[in-house]
Formats: sequence, structure tokens, C-alpha cells
Amino acid sequence: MTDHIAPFHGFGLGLRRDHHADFLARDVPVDFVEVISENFMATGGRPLHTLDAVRERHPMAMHGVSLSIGSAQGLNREYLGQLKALADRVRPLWVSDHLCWTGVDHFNSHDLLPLPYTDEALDIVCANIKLAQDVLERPMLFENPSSYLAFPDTDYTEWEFLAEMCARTGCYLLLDVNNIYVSGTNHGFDPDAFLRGIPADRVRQIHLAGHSQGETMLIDTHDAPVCDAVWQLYRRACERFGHAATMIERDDAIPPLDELLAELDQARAVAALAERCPA
Amino acid sequence: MSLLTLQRMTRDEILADEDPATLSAPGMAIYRNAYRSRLLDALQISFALTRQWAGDETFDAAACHHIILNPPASWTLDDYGAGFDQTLAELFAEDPEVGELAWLEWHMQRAFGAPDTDILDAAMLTSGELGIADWETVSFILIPGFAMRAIATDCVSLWQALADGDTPPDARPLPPGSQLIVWRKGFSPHFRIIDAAEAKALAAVAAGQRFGELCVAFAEELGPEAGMAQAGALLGRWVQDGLIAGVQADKRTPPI
Repeated sequence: MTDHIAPFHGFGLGLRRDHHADFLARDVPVDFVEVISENFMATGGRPLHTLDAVRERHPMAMHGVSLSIGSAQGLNREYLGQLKALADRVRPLWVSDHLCWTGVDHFNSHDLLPLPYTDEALDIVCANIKLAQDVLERPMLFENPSSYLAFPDTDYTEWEFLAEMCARTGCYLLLDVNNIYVSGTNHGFDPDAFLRGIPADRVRQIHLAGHSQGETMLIDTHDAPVCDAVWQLYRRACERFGHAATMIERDDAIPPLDELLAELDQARAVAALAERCPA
Repeated sequence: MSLLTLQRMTRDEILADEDPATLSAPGMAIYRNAYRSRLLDALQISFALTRQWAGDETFDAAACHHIILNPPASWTLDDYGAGFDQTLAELFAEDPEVGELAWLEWHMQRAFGAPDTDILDAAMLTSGELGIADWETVSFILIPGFAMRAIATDCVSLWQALADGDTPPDARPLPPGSQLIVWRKGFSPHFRIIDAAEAKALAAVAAGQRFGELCVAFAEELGPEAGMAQAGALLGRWVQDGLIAGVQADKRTPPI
């Protein structure tokens, strides 16, 4: 098993069903695409055919939502086996999931539920990461989720937890800049303190997305363009993690592909500006 | 509090159907609402035509009932529609086409993404390429994603009209013993209503029964010549439809 993921600098989009035909019919100007792993695990027919065809044209990252790396009951071995089979087929840039848990006692919430940043949680997460990386025979990336719950009596800030997790397991990070902004607003922490606390050499990918205003908190809805405040935070993230690949996520109210490509051009422009004129 | 205890408490709060004011934290309401919305979305998408037939409000009420009784267990949300046709069949016992239409939609979706497999073609059956030494002892393997069930109404015509945007017909009753099969051929899901005799034969094939036993059963019913012809014709049809993935030899003693 290799313990290193080479940096890949580029700009990509998520492969969503609404855009399958575009990706099959034309040469879409992206440096990579990201697929949701679960959409292609244990499947066949047209979905798998589309995956293979797009993979022939573009480097691909695999991004999962169901690993449940923070599960106190350990990982689902059957799921891991199917994830490994897909990774063997796709030969992705990397395989990522979220720092969260999704269920307990055979209940799956299909949500990215928050973890308390405690010593016990860190031990559990790190043991699970080591198992996942052993089965997959590759280091993984983990993403900071948006959170709507804060826990009392924690031992770490979120960024301290992520840094320690990387140090203990050799995993890498997928930094979601929108999630930093959303969680920072919801819980009252400074997004720049988050950026400063992240080990720059572990960041391989950045996510950008839109959010919406809920009754009392910001909600990570992926249904709108990236907002100005997140673009500004992204520029500061580029100054620290400029070598990382950037991707725009849109999972609801999905616009025509060209609209997302224009937004991706904006990410390219912001990253270029950060490189030319660091603050 | 241990992490496991905290995770179980969080699950209980997500599943509880109590006043949001009683939740442990304001943010918990966001997870609880997202949980319900996500599952309702999944059912609305998987059963779009059934929703159209039943009516949006009626369907959504049934879906909420199903969500309360059936928390998801699978790692993939794509599995969540499994069993919803049974919930609808129970709730709409006087309108059996609702559950049957839901079953058809669900199994078309499952067939669409079913794992790939080789398909037996007609030329291979007769070419000797399969190396079948004794036709009596072989059995046939059905393709992944194949599904079959008894139906009382012509939900197929209903599905077709709804899918085409036409005015749906009344749910016409079908002869007793009618069954519906769903499978994938190429990239597209297919379906067909079959009669009781073909259904019985397909159920036998699905259970791993040898072709010889199938022939004997038809011979007992129709006579030796007609029985053999019927078994051969059905096999030809199944191969033509792409229902058969392969053959397997059976080491058991052939039927006398």
C-alpha cells in the first residue's frame, strides 16, 4: 500500500445524473470529475457504462457519504469491500468521505451527523481510518462536514481534531470551504483560525458550494451558487492550500452544465488571483 | 457519556415524533427535518408515476406513514423504496393497482441498475458451445434484476399511459393467475404480463429446477409432445428476451 497521494492541481465538477449526457457527448473542460461512490457501487447497466466512459476521458475522484468513519460500532465490512471493488475499477485520484457518523444499530440516517471532538472520538475515528485505509490499500481524504450541533466538554477544536487525525493515520483532507463558513457562522468560530490550524501538506482537495439561511442557522444545501463570503474565504484558503484540486458541488436545483462551468471559471480566477497577489 | 451512548441518543431524537421544543438542542431539529425530507424525496423520485396516480397529498401521507414504520438500514438510499409497494398495498387494499404500479416502478428501477452479466443467446444453445451433455439435468440461471409477482390489475397499461403523459385508463382487472415480470435488456428495463403456466415455469427455473423436470411437468399437463413443445417454446422466448444468464449442470440423478 502506498502511503502518499501526489498533489493534483486542477478544477473539477461533480458528475451528476443531470449532466451525464453532456459528459458523454462533449469534451467538458474540467481537469477532473468527482463521483459519489455509492451511486456506482454494486451496480451495472447504464450507470456503470457512463462511469467507465467518463473515466476514459477524465481523471476521477471518488467521494463517499456512507463510510461512517466516526461510528462507535466500527465499519461495515461489506460496504468497504464494495468500495474497494469500485476503487479498483475506477483507479481514482483518491477516495474521500466525511468526518462524521451516519447511523447506529443498523439504523442509517443518510445524513452526515456530527462528532464530539473528544479523545474517545479521536481514538475511534483513527482506528476506523486505519482499517479503511488497510482494506482500500490507499490513504483516504476526509472532509469537514457542516454542523448544526455543538457539544460541551470537547477536548479539541474541529481543526485540532483534523490535524491530529492526519498525524495519527496518515490520511489527507478534503477541505470544504463552504462548510467551514457554515459551521463557523453556526458555532461562532473564526474560519481563518480553522484555515490556520489545518496542516497545509495534508490538503489534497477543496470543495466549494452554496448554502441557505435556515430559521436559526446556515444550512449546507448545495442548491445555490457560491456566495461572496465563501469566495473570499476560498481566496485565503488558496493562499495556504493552493496546490489542492478544487471542485464545485451542486446537488439540488442543478443548473445547466455551462452555468456550473462558468462558476468553475470563477474559482480558477480566484485561485489565480490568490497566487499572483497574496494578501 | 460514551460516543456510542451519544450516537444512540441522537438516533432516538432523530426518530422521535415529539414536539421540536423538547429537543436537546435547536440544531437537532435540522437533522430531524432533513432525515424526513430526504426519505420523502427518495420515495417521491422512485415512485413518481405512482404518486401521480394516487395524488400528491395521498401519496405523501402514505410515504410519511412508511417512513415512521421503516427507518432505513441500508448504506445506500437507493434501497429505501424496497417494501414501499407493500405499504401501499395495505393502505390501498381496495385499489390494488396502486401497490402493483409501485412494485412495477420499483423493480424497473432495480433492473435499470442491476449488476451486469453475460446473456445466453439462442445460437449458443444449439451450437454445442455450452457443452450440455444432458439436457434433462441442466438448469438455467436468471439474470440479476429479474423480478416476478402476481398481479390483479393491468398496471402495465396504467404505467404506459402515465409515462407517456396520456390520460390513464381505469385499472382493468386481469385473469386470475396473471403475473408480471421485470428485467433489464441492454440498458433498458422491460416488463411483460405472463399467464399462469409461464409463471409457474419461470418460478421453477428461478428455484433451480432442472429443465428435465420442467419438461416432465408440462408433459403431464399437456401430453408428451405438446409438453415438450411448450417447454422448448418458453425457453426460446426467455432466451430471446434476454432473461437467461447461463446454464448449470446438475449432478443429481435425473428424474425417472
